Amino acid sequence: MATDIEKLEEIVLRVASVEPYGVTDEEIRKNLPENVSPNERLQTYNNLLQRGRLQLKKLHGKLFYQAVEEHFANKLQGLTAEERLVYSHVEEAGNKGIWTRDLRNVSRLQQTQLTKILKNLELKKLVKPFKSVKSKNKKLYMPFDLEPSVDVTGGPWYCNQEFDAEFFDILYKQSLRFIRGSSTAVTVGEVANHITSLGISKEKLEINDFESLLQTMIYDGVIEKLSKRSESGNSIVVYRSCRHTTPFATLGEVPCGICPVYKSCSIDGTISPANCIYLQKWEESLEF
Amino acid sequence: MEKYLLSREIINFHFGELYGQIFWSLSTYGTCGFKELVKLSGVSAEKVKQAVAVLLQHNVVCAYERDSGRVFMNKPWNLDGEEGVEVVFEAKVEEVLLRLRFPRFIQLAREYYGETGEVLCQILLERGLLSFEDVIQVGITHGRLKSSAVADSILHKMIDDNFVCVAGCEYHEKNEKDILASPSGMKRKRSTSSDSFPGREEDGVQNSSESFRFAQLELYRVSTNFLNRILRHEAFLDLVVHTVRENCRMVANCFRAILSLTRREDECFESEQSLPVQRDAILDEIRNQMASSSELVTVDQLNEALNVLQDERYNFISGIGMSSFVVEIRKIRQLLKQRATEHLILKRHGASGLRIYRLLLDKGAVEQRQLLEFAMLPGTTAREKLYAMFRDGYVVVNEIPSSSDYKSSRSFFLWSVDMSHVFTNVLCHAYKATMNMLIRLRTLHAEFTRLLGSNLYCVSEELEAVSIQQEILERHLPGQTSNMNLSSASLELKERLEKLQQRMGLYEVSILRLDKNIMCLRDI
Repeated sequence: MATDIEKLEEIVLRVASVEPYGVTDEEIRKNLPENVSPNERLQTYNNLLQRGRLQLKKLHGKLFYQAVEEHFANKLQGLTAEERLVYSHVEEAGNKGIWTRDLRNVSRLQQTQLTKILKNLELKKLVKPFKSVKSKNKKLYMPFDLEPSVDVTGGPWYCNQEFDAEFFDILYKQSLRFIRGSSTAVTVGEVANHITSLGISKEKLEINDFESLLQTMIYDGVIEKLSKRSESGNSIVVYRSCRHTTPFATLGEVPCGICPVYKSCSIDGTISPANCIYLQKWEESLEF
Repeated sequence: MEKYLLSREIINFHFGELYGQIFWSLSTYGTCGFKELVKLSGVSAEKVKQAVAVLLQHNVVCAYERDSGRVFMNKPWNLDGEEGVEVVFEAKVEEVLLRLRFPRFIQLAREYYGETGEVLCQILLERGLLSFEDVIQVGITHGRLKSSAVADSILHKMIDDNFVCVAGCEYHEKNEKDILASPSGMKRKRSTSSDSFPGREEDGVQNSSESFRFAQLELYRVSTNFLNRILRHEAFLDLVVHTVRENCRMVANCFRAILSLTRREDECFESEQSLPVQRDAILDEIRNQMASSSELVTVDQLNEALNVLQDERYNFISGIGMSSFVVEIRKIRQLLKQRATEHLILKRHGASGLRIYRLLLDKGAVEQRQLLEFAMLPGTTAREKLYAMFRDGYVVVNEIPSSSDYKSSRSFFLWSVDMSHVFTNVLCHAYKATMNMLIRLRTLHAEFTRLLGSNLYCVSEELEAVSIQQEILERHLPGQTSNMNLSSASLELKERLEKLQQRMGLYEVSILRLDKNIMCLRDI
């Protein structure tokens, strides 16, 4: 009898681990031998649930059985019902994490109780706290063995929730030097290869990251985007340097154009062009 | 407001403070009669009369008949009205602002009609509205024109080319045909006599009566509209030269030819596109322009240049059918304004400010969090720049409430760029900067005059005054330095005067360049 139960448990776990969201009772029943009675099946479920090898989830009004890894089940062994509940919500949030306030709302636990539970889970290395680049004051929790998503970390441009301006500037300068040095327009792939070959970045940069870097350069007016026909006849996007000078733009060249207090300046006011120190300095600086 | 302040400052600078005061009363109060104007300005009637006559002569004030609304062109110096007609006056602020452009108009006259053309243009700009004979007469009397016959033919040419026009024709559009049909050549001179218009007695015919007023007067002035058109085309060409990298010389020649072909018809500044130009006509025009050069322009070269101008990156021209092309006036105007604005933002807020501005232009309305993410800038820097630009009016923020209680904590704040608002802001800024430069220049002139110890600066004849100053300086300073041992006090005075002159030169150049900026934002 004992052997039969063990065999049944094995089958149930194998079936339940096939789908990431688990399987329904009906699907498990189809995979079990025909002579297994409902009581035996229920007993198997209960055993597995007790040992933490099986998790029950409700999706679209249906109950799903999801298998849990053995080493993980061992970790969850000994957790209280509240702790399991909190952990399940954290796990559900995945690598995007869940804010403590949201956790409190969904678990309907008191703040003190929740804090205690989260501390326990942290000690058992089941969950870990982190902060998102989007909201630095919010404390988020995610499963311990997951890595935060790019949305939360900000991607390669962020380090400790802060924009890594130094790293970005280095990549910006190197990419610009490469584009300016090229006799023809270059593709984003070529820029990526060049930067990778320099070995500047320890993190792996995706093509998307290079595209956003080049887009910033376009906003700065140092490069321009063109479309070109490739040898196969397809249209490809290439980049080349540009130095557009601006005709008829003198306002930025005279002191009044860049004056920080030009709005307060008037003919009879305290700040007046007749006694303006910026204008005086300008006159002196341009004297031969 | 800046526009009105600047126009007052220009009048102050060119004519004197009394004139400035009267012009200011007119421009701020609006259209008013002579008695009202005397009351408003707080100056004696005689002085007001004299000032208004000068301002009318210089076309910076116009007079209307109150009841009919017709421009009162006949004897504008008769301020009390004529034959019971009540006259009202109106300030022409835009016309005053064009006075900053006079040096460029003179330069154009020199380019197109040589030295005589330059002198004729100078006379018309210095003296205001003049009859055909008076223009020549003034030039000959003052020894500025050598031959009256040459001047006569050049002035005729200037009138035929629309460089010089009959004063007031812009206000009498319905009679334009009559004006244009008025006798040309030698008849222009005879037309001042009322005898040449036997129909004058037929007062019952309203239209012909109006045209007689013109013909009878026939006062001429420099056609600012036409000159602005030339300057605007120069600006377009500059933009193309500064933007296109491929085949620059040919592209510039091609674009110049297209503009030159459309110039005469390009009257509406607000139009989207120019009139279509044929490929063959462009080729002929380029060959005409390059007649002196031995280089022969081929059809292939022309096609290549046209393709570059049509390229989707630039879109300076568009093709209509197989062989016609139009200039994309609206796009070019927008691009020029955009460039001028971006340059100012770059200078005021640095590269990061410009990045934020362009990003907002590209993305439309964006939340601050998204903006900081796209801008690739440290949060604090980006926020500081964003708020500084908001203070300057380059970016705007809109609150979109997510709930009916309009609670700000539940609202979305979207940042965006309101282009027309930005252009207006930059234009006002340019007006203010120009006004400051003018004030400073006036202060320096006053200082210069004080140092010289004589009241040299005759405001109503600015150009003459400048030459007088130069003459006196020449007479006093270089002569003294070369022939005499100067005392230390004289040397010090000389140094100070030279320094002041340098500074005045700096301001004059800056004002001229700022006017280009204003033209780019307003008149283009």
